[in-house]
Parts: sequence; structure tokens; C-alpha cells
Amino acid sequence: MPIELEPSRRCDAPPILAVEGLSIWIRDGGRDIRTVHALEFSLAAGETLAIVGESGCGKSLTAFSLIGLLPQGIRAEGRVGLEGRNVLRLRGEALRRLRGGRAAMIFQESMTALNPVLRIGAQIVETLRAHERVTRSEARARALALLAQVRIPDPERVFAGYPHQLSGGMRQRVVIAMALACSPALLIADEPTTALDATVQAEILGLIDDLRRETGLAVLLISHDLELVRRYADRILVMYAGHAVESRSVEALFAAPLHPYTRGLVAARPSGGSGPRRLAEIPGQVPAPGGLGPGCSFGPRCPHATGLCHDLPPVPDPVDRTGKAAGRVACHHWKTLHVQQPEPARSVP
Amino acid sequence: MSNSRNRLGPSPDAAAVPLLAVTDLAVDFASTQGTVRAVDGVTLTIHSGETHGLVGESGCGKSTLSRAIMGLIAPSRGSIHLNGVDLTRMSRRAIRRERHRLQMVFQDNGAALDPRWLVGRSIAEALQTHGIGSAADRPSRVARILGDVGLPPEAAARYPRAFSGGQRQRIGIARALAVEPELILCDEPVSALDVSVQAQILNLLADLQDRRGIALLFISHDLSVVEHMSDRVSVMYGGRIVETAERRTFWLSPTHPYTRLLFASSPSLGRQRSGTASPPPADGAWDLHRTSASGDGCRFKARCRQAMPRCLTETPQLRLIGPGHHVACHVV
Repeated sequence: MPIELEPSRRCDAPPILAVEGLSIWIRDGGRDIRTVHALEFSLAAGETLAIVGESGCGKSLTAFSLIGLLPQGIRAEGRVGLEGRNVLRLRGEALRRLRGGRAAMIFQESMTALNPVLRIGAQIVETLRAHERVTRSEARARALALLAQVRIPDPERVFAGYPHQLSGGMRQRVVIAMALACSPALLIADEPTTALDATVQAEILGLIDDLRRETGLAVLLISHDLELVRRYADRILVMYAGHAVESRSVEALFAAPLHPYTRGLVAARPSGGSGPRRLAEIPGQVPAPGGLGPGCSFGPRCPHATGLCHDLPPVPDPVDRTGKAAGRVACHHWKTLHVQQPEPARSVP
Repeated sequence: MSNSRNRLGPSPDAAAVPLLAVTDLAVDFASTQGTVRAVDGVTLTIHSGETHGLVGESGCGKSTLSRAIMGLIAPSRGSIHLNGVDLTRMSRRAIRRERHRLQMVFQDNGAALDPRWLVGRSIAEALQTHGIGSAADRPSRVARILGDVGLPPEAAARYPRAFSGGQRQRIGIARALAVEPELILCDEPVSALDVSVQAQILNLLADLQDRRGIALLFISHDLSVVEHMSDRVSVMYGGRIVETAERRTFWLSPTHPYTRLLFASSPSLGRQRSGTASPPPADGAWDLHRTSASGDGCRFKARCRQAMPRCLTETPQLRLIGPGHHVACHVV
């Protein structure tokens, strides 16, 4: 009997999350600026998808739209299917029950997610009772179990404590416990460790990964750091200026990144030890929303751009067609670039 | 061999007077819980043209140390020698004369620049303060410095808000360079920047150093960035330096348990996804003051898996364990 490898188990079930043609517009003065362009992705139970991109690429807006949290003046179009229902059409009570129920979200700064004047236990109990009919003593027992589940030593003491008494890492654990309170199918983690120290960061991401393995949670990890998510994601979707430029399995992406932007991101980070003294630079800077021409969004910064790139936006091409690891890359020239691997470190005078 | 690593710059001649020598430096802050010793007995030398990397997590004292070196905070003990002259014993006026040798680049240079001043004026002010060049040749000097950091001369006639984060960091570096310093303290110079822009700034600093032989004290929480930039790396924990080594030694044989934890936690330098359950948290739940001066023993004892009884009572001192490699740990 063949040994079941971990990746195969998560592909047969219908996806928890299926995003189709998701576009997001920001109202600015009299006009609508399109900041996210026709995103497509799906996420199965027990799987981790990382959306990676720099500031302003639209990754956080995408995350907010998945649970109907877009602020006033920002609207989303397309379809966000969460367990078969289109979140973009939910309103009022249905939306409230979804958030913290089937889909939960955690943020970068745990202090703002917690009420500073309420004891931690009371906040978890409140979450539980907002979604389920449970008695106080049941809720208390479950809250303590949740604190233990996120590996908090001495849950009783933390239950009775206030947020300011905890370190940043411990607070983020409490926030994760609250997110898990109603056994969601989807956990969205928006830069969950950016404010934390490196050693604590590894612990928190490791914890989320453990919980995924234990409970079959689908995890959507939003990050600016490609290297960081490498250890914890099954698939990575790289965003640039509101577009998905490359979406592939972690193994395939790091074995041979195809989009010039992804290749630039990989080469721009110090790799330690015997890496080159000069890092490969991506010239220029991230464009402002709405400041793009008709062609490829990365064209103005791309060392391989041609006239075609400036005139016509690339459509996503399927790559890695073998099995379920299928990916996509949106670049006119990825096939020719693929032959020229690896990207040389360019010298800038 | 443009890609070869020629990092050691001028060889640190033991007999020469170091550019910067910090000896047994301590800095105390008063808090509601009593005195907190943010920097506790740090000794550090930087030779001219060398990059000394300082890595550590928030609250370890790395920024306090750099501010003490700049003279922005008074140390409670120890000395800071620049070219053999003790800055801690100098008058304010004498320090001001020396200040141009020592400049600083901050994490957020948007905040370090006056938003109502044109960029050119901010740079010219630094020249004027230190009496460099005549008033007549200042504009051309400013333009040249902007060129050195990869900005067009027209940048001088714009306000800081017109620039992106990466460009503002270039302006901050230009302002530091203007007064021809011998040492620049870089405190998290790329932490606020997008990954694609970080490489531009790191390359710029490396280029400037190659061209001008400026020494850098490069401070960051990001191990991979510090490791990349430095000739020599020191690791700080709880106000103390726990390990210091030349870059290659540091990379090949990180020794202090905390250094090894940093390596294991670094996304680009550490292990891959393990597939096994992660261990329970190493930082306790009630550790707000974990890095403050908390009694005897090793500062890392509560998080160290190899801690012995001796670690609880006796503070480990830096010991030489290999060529140029010092570690403060009872276990190794």
C-alpha cells in the first residue's frame, strides 16, 4: 500500500475558500481606483496559502474582503465563496455570524485586537457566547482549553490577567485562541508576526502550523516576506500592484521562480554564508495605485520588459501542470526567462 | 572576481588605535520598578573601514548602546573612545567638534528630516554646522552628495514628503555622509523598507564603504541582513554582548545558545518546515521585564534549554573560545 504523503490528502475535498474574479476599487475623490485586479485562488481544508507582496500591493484589502471587512468607500466585485456561500453578498447578521464563526482573522498588532480593560478570560468567553449558546461555566472551561491549545503555560493565570501583563508573543497566542474559539474552517492571518521578535515569530508561525495540522484548519497567511512564509505555506501567491503575478506550490516556486518580480524578491534577500556581496536590486519603487499604464504592472521596473509588456497586460499562464501542484504565472516572457535561469546579480553603477 | 567576498577591509591591526573603543559601558534608566540597566558592561571595538554588526531583539539594548555612543544618553559607567579620545569625559563644546566624525542613520528618516525644509537645506545645514566648505560652494557640494547616494541634483529642491521610503533613506544617508564621517551608526536602516528596496539601500551602504572606507556600526534585529553586511558580528541579549566573532566564524559556528536560537528562527538562514510539532514557547507568559537587570546569573537562563545551576547564580563573562571568537556562556 502506497504511503500517503501529506500534500495529497488535502486536494480531494471541495475547497473551503474559492475566490473568483475578485477586484477591489477604492473611491478617491470622484473616481474609483482599481487596486486589486481579478484575483483567483482557492484554499482547501488543512492547507496553507500565503499571499505575499510589498506594501500597497493589495494583499490586506484582499484579506479584509474575504470576511466582508472592507471599510466605507471600498468595494469588491467578483465572488468569494466560503463553504459554498458568496461572502460579498452577505449582509448584517449573516456576516456577523460568519466573522469569528466559520472564518476568523488575526492581525499584526495584537494589542489593538484585545480590550485593554477587560480580563483575557472574559474576552474569550464573550467571543464564545456571541456565537454559541453556552453557559458561563462551559465557556470558562472551553476558554481554558483554548489557552492550553495555543501552548500558553499556566492558562488559569492568563485567564485572570489583563493584556498589558503579557508579552507580544503571548498576546498573539491569546488572539489566536480567540480566533479558534468557534472552530472556524478558515483562519486569515494578516502579518501575524511582523511586530514580534524573530525567535517569537518562529514560535507563533509554528503554532499556527501545528493547529492547522491538528484541526484541519485552512490558513491564509498574508505577509510581505517571501522567505518567512516558505516554511509554513503549501502554496504561495505573489502579488504586485494588485495583480497575482505568480501562484505556485512552495517547492516549485523556490526551485525556479518564474516571474521576474518573484525572482527579484528571492535574489534581493541576503542568503547568508557565501552569497554575493552585492544583492540583486529591483530598481525603482512600488507604483501608487492607479498610477499604472495599460501593460504589465511590473513592466516599468522589469529588466526584461519589451514593447509588448508596456502595451498589453499579460494573462496568467498555467505552469507546473503535473498533478495538483498546478500553478500560474502572469508574464509575457516567462518561457524564455525560464531558460536563462538563474537571475544574475545585476550591478548598478 | 567582482563577486568574491572581500569583506575584511583593512586588517584590524591589534596594535593600531581602534576608531571606536567602547569599554565596559553601562546605561541605566529609572522606571517605576526601580532602575533598569539597559546596557550592562558592553565592550566593543571598531576599526576604520570595518563593518561591525550588532544583532538582537527588541529591548536588548542595541539602540540604547548606539545612542550612548552618539552622546545622546549619558552612560552610568564605562568609556567611549573615538580615535583614542574619551568622549564621556569631553565638554559639550569639544564633543560638538568631534561630532562630524560620528554620524547616525535611523530607521525612519522621514521623521529625522524636517518636513518643512527642502532636502537641500537639510543637507546644507549639516555642512554649515560643522563648517565644511564655503557658503558659495555648498549647493554644488549638496548636489555631489545626492549623486553619491543615487539621487538626482533636483532632489535638493524638493520636500521630504515628495520621496518614497527608500529615497528618504538615501537622503538620510546623504545627510550623514555630508560631514565626511569616519563612522556611521546605522540603527535598523532598512527595517521599514519594502524587500525590493532594502537591497538598494544595503548595496548603497556597501558601495559607500568600499569607496570611502567609512566604518559602520550596523544595528538590526534581522540576522540575515547583519550577517550579510558585517565583517564582525556581535549578538546582544539583555543588555550584554553574549557572542562576538568574525563573520565567517559566526556563520560557520554560532555558539551561544541564544545565537543558535536566532539562527534557527531566521527564515532565510534557519531550518526548513519541520513537520513535527513545535516546542512550547521559550518566552514565559510574564516576561515584560525579561531583559531588565533581573538579579544574578545569565540573562538568557529562563529561555535556555541547557541552563545549569551555575547559570542561575553566576553571570557568564565573555571568554575567548577561538581566534577572535568570544562567547559568554557557562555551557560552552
